[in-house]
Amino acid sequence: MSICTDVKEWIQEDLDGDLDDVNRERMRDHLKECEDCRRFRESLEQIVGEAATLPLDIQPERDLWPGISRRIYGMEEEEASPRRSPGPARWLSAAAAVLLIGTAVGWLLLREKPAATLAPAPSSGGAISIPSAQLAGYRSSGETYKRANAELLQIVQSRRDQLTPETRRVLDRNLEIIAIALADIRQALEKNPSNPELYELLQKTYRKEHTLLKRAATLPVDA
Amino acid sequence: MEERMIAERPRKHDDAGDIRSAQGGDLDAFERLYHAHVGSVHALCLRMTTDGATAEELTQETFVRAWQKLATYRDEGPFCAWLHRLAANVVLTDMRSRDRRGKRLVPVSDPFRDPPQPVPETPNKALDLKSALATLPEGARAVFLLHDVHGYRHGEIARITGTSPGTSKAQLHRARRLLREVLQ
Repeated sequence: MSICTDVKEWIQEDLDGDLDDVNRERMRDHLKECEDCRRFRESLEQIVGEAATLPLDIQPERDLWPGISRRIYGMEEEEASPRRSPGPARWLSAAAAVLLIGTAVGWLLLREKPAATLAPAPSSGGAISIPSAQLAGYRSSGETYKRANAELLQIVQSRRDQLTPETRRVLDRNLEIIAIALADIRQALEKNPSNPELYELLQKTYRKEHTLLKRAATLPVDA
Repeated sequence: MEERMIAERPRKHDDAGDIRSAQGGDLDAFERLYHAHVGSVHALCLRMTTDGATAEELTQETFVRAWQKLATYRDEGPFCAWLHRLAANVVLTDMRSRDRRGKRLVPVSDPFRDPPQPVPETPNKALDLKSALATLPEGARAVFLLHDVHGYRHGEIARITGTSPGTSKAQLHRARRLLREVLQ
């Protein structure tokens, strides 16, 4: 290995602030007599200097916050699902979770004053009011999920033949359970359109459907 | 090289109050943190991925993760540096995942997914540094950006990238040598 190879490494370490005094001295001595290594050092200094002047802030072309807040709204469900490879057992646990959601809808419908402990008593009495911005957020998020899930469903249908019969069976069963849960929640919302808990259940169920369809759409072909 | 401290950049936004509020579940406070730091996070994602759409997606993912992990943030350094660590992790995980997917599902080359990188036709046709960065291998580019642009030390980069400080140093030196060749 020539001395130039060592010196070029020392030059890099010197730029990093990691070169010891002994080698720095040897590097300086060598640079006095080696044009090639001097050019190497100058060009690296230029690169490092220019890198340090690059702007540290570059704004995205669009506001990303709406997408972030939508995802945060649906996060509880996401955190509850373990991130392991999908398989029939995992999907069945998805079904169980949705069944629980369905049960919760029933429970909410049976309660006389569904959300009385969660929000201050409204002035008109009886009905619970959701702030209009929050309600708009729920609706917008719901529409987004509906569109995304419809697109995912098309993808899943297009590759259905590539899935094993067992996977298809589990997928169909889960989608059926989710469809029943969604229908129950929508029906409940028609009766009580101001109940924030129902909107949250609706979001969670859409999210569950989304997760399931996304898994099905990206499963390896032999799954 | 002296560390380039991102925290030294003057910021009008007072992070501390909003961090405390956001840790308590205040989404409005988290939105203010987002607006204060999105440019910095996006800059890192954009330079690491060299693709605008992917950078936006991963910036979004970084802030979602930040919300999830906010309770683990302690006032041990600038909030922006904490976000950068998250962002770098998000980008590197995405790169590895795309690598795996590419190997499994895209056995033939896909010109739309992997556009040819701009390589100068002759050694004398110089590129600017921003364009030259796009020609680097992903690992070397990530380390160069974290070290020479954002001022992280090798130990910190090793923790972010899941490698050793020695690997980080080797990647950085390789990146500079490659940039020198491209820029000459």
